[in-house]
Amino acid sequence: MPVHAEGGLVREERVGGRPELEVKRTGSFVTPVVSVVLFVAAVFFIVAPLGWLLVLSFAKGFNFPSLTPTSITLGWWRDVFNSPGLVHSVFLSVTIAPVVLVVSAVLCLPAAYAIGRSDFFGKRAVLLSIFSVNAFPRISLYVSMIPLLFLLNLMGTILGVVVVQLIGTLLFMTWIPATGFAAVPAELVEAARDAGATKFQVFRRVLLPLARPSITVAAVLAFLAAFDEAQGTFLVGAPNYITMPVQMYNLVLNYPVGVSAVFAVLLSIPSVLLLLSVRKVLFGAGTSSAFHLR
Amino acid sequence: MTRPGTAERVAGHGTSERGSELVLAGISKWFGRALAVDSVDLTVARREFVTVLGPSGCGKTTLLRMIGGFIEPDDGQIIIDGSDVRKVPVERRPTAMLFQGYSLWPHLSVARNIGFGLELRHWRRREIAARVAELLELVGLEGFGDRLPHELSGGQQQRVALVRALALDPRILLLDEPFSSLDLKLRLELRNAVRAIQRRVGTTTILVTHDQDEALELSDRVVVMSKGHIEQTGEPTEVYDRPRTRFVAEFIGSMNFLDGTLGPQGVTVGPSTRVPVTDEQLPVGHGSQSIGVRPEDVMIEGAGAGGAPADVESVTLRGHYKELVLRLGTVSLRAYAPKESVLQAGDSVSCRFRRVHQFPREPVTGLLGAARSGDGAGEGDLLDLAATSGEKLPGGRQ
Repeated sequence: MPVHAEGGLVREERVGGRPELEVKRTGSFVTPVVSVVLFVAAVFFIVAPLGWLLVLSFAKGFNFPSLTPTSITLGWWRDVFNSPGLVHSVFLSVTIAPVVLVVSAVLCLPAAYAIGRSDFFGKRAVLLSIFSVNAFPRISLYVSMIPLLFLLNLMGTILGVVVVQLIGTLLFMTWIPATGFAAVPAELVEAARDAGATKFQVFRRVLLPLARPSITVAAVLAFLAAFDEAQGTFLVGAPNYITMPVQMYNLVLNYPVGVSAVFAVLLSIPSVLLLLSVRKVLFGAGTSSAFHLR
Repeated sequence: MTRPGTAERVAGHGTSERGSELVLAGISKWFGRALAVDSVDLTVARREFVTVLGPSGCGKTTLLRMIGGFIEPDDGQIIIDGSDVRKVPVERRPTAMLFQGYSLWPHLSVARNIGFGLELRHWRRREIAARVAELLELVGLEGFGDRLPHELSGGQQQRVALVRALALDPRILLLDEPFSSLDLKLRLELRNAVRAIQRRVGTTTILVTHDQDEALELSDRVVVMSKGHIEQTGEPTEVYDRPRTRFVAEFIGSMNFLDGTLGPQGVTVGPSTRVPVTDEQLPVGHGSQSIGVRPEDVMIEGAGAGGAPADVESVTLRGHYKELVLRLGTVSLRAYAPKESVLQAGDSVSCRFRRVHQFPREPVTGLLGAARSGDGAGEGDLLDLAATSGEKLPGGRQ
């Protein structure tokens, strides 16, 4: 084996026999140190707080300053699931957020395709207007929308809640997939056309699969944005539709800390499940190499 | 400037339309106010390998992309196998393009890349598999079908791209500088592979390149382009041996240019230096001309051997030969010598020219159409027709 240049990727083709490509990452000592630091930081800032919530949700009480609970109980969980209001919130959240995601995808992905793959008059204006939605305090936007929602008879309706949650997903679902669509080299599209694909077939068989990592990222962020949305949902949906994050305010103020902990754990479950399920899509060999992510 | 009509120009071509796969008639394309392709006529015979050669920006890629259907020409006809395809969209043209980058779809396996077009045409799975296996064998990549493109080397990827283009049995294979992203060794290897496969499969092929070696080595016919129009069309030896314009002479191979007059005794350079020319078919000069001499046509003998006296200015070893710069009166000339040659800078020699080319000293503008439509003009016509490219030609190389 020849000596590789230090650092970086070294490609070589074996002479004779079955040609094979070896991709080798040659080491410097910096990489392991950095990854250990990142790992510790991830544990400290992400895993530890979640673990602490989990402990709180099962803890009966604490003897200060001990960090271990005096005894374990399922009481908080039982309280949550025996309260019809709280169960209704869980139900609302896990049904509304996916609906918002689907609507957002249907509305935004064609826009993202257009922004990413073509030039049209007013493209910058579209991008900026979507961006500006997120550039100001959201609550003032919601307040100014309320007259319109009254006019459209959407106040206090589930459709109103969907609309208001949709706003927070627009930026993610247009900007991120647009860059994904834009990153597909023109030659790949032309090669597909040359092989006989119509524009729609190019979209379905080449652009969509190649933009999938970015669409996945956008979908995760959009889902969580909708799932965690509390301000607008409260303004529009209360008192009929109290989703989990809205309910959180109520719990923090009026219930024992254990109940809040249970709710916080429930709120975190979708994030964890989502990240675990999309890991393969985001870091699978074919797509990640296309975007030089490895 | 008046141009002959399209029909006349098509009829004016030597190849009969029946044996021709592709006819381009008066193809033009503007990009904004720049004329990228200027009324190009070209006929390509069935199974022929034609190379369009020219510097970057000469319009060769635009021309190729118009044949493939990626760009619509502003004017002219594109006739493939007897029918005008100008309005046929790219996905229904009987052409296939091999791109400069590898352009394999990174999310599809090698087999699915090759079978992509067949899938779109609803071939049965078993038939696709058989065709893919056959094509992989053609480029020596048996057993690579299940791999993803990024698991292959650059040369392997380009070979897959080649057979992907061939999968649908195109009438015309279009190659857009397909070797330029490869290193030298792979480039030569793939070049040979392309030629061998083209001979075997017999697909009419048009290659676009700026690499003269590629053009001379691969093609049945070379089309030299400059600034949107065709300078010369001919077999590789013809284009090399009888460059019709100064541009072609400069672009292909290397050429010394001297200002001088050509007479029965040879070339007279400067006030009194006369160089004998051994070529019997000496073109007859009309006064002062730009005389072109290829370095390999400069014959060097010992001083006093009867040729024109010259001094060796420098000697450079180029591997299997030496390159000399000779001073001949007031001008410098490049010449070659075997690597065993003992000549050194400062030596006196005498030289003759084996054969010379003539080009008008000043570019004659306004004869463009006439010069370009004269396909197969003999050397005698050279003086009247040559160097009518309309370009501002640089002065003679010193």
